[in-house]
Amino acid sequence: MTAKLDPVIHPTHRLRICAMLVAGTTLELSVIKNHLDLSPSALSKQVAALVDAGYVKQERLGADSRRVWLSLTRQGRKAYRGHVAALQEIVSTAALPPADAHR
Amino acid sequence: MESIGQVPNPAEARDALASIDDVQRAVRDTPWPAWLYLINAVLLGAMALTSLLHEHRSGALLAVGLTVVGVNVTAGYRIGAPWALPTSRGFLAAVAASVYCVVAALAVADLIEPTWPVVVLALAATAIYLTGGVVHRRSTGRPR
Repeated sequence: MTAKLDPVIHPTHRLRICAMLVAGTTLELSVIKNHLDLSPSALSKQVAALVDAGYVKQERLGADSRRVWLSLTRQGRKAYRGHVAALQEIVSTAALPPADAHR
Repeated sequence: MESIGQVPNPAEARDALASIDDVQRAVRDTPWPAWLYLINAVLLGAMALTSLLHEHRSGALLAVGLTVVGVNVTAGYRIGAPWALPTSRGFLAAVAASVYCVVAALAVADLIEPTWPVVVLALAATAIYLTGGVVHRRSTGRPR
């Protein structure tokens, strides 16, 4: 896996949406809405950006077509992992003492 | 194509990682309906008791096992998070312990004559699961 910041996932709300989908695998849109402080239209916009990038799959399952279900695609999961690894690298680099600190 | 703009500084990166933890925990701790704990506890006890059957034991065990899976997946779809694994370690430990009781009941039934150890293990599986359910419910709260 390559640690790389992903411009599509980078905005906070999209990162959180991807994180939720990693934790839940498949989630109903209303569950995501409950955990994000976003209006329905703003949420749709963020989800649409992830769908357009090919990172999130959106579908209606079963008899109740009003319920929208989201899941990460393989590409989305890879991009998310790379983005999180890049964030962890930024944090760990800052945690290291500077090279000349013990001189 | 979107661009990152400015690369996040360590504090921003730390905040982003913390927010990931928060939302993942929130999703995994989506509250369950109370009836689900009760049905799971009863079905686990029933699984243990299938070992007392003289005929069709494997079929009965499979039927109860599939019912457990079906009930939980259906309930999961109802609450909108069918595959989210709860974070409560107490609950997960209780589930593991109650499954252990079921497996022990299945093994014990073949080894010894009296039926009471199987019944005790079935009751233990049910009671342990219910205790875990209380722990889980306390950690997640009621469904909205």
